[in-house]
Amino acid sequence: MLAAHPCGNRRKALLLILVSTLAETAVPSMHDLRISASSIQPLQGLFPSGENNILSVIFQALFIGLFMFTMLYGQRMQAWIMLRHIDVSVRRLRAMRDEARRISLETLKGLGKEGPDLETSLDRLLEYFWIPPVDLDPAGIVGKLEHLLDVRDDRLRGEVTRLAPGADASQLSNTENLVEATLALNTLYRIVRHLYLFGKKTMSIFIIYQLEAQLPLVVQEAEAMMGGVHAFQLGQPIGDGAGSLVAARLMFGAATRSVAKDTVASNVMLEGRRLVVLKAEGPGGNVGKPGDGLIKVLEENGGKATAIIMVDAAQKFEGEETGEVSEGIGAAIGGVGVDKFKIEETAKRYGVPLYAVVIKESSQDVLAPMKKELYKGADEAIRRVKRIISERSTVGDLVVVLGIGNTIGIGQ
Amino acid sequence: MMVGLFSLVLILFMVSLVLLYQAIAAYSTGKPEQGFAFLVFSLLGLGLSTYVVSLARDRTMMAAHRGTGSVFTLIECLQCGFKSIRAFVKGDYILKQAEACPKCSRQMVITSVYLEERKR
Repeated sequence: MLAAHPCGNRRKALLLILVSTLAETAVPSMHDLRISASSIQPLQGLFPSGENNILSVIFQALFIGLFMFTMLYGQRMQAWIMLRHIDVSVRRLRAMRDEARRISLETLKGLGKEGPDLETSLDRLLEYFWIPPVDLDPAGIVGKLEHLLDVRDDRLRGEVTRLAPGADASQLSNTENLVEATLALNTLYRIVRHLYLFGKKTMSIFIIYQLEAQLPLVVQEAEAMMGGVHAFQLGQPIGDGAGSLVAARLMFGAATRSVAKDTVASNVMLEGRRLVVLKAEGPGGNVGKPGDGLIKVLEENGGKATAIIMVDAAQKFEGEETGEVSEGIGAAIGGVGVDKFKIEETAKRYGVPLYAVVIKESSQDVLAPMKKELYKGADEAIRRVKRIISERSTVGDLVVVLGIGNTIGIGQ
Repeated sequence: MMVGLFSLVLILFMVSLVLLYQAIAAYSTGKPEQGFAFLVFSLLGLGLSTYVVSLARDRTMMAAHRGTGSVFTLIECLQCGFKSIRAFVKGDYILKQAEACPKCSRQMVITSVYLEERKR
């Protein structure tokens, strides 16, 4: 990376060049010793002698002065210019945070709550944080994580219920997602602002470099969240719901039953195989508890499943198309890791193979309203799931299909 | 690398100013050919340094640049295959029962709610 004194050796070399240039103009006869006459004419043309000599000397001095200034204070000037660029991004982030806050307030007002208490309560929610459990002794950490996350979710839901007394279950989930997205934008803005002000205070080129280098990604992330804010406000399906969409299409028309918190399942027959399809309960913005749902389904069936197929959205690389589908092995699920742990543990306990089908999208698409390409990707994912089922199971087998993702705007 | 680039741009800019001064001096002392040559190189240098600075400035924002769009709802009749597209309305969701099919009078279903992007 960067050296401790990047200009040190260069400064000496440049000083030598400057001294020699001055020497050349002061003692023209030295030219004959080192360089041919024809090659010095352009140089001499830059600094002519004769009647303009005084002006040329002044100009030379100015030039050398500016040169020395650049060498000695170039980094500071660059830091100042980069801080100006960062300032533009900080203002953008603040504007996005304020817009998200305005939308959240508007939504809460529309769901029955009015009064000065609303703004204060919302601002208090936007400063919410959670402290992850210590991992010095990792044994049992998944249980601790789950407990803390459940408490956080219950607390947030309780606060949103108090602020939106007129909301039904779907609206409550959507509003909760909206407040969480606003909270995330607020946190992002505060972190970037902190680094900006810290860099400004210290004029440390390394801190400013790092911040400016990451800014395109940060602003991209913030814009994606902003897309999510609008989607949550209106209840539109988002890119993260690609897995839920696949499950919804597979279970369409079948009766659903609750198997875990905010999680539903349906029994479907496909080519003689018995499918149990699970997804989060829509059309509210839920992610459900697919881990608990899988445990319940397998326990109900004595663990006799031939395969578990998980369908989820995944990050695509630059150069890949949105909606491309890939297959693999393992638990295709994001989040902190609690549900992933439970699914892997359960699959291992019952000896059930775990297959993954992912629909690729960019990080901007995850929170934005779903694009047409993702619907085509969902169709392809269904074809892949059916192929895996026909290849990896026989007639009469039980196969569990989990559609993972936020199910906002997706029913069942 | 950025420090080196910035220094080079600044040197180029200063050399361009020097050449501009030389061009004016050449014209005023009755050397139009020399003046023209200095003027051309000066303008080239000024243009190049401005261009490089503007590129470095825009790159940060371009990465985060994204088009906006409109959201549409696709309603299908699963019996006869009739499809209809309209603007999204709050309350629409995938697999929601929609209005009756104008062709076969069966109930239609919302099968997708999608974003059509518009580049800025």
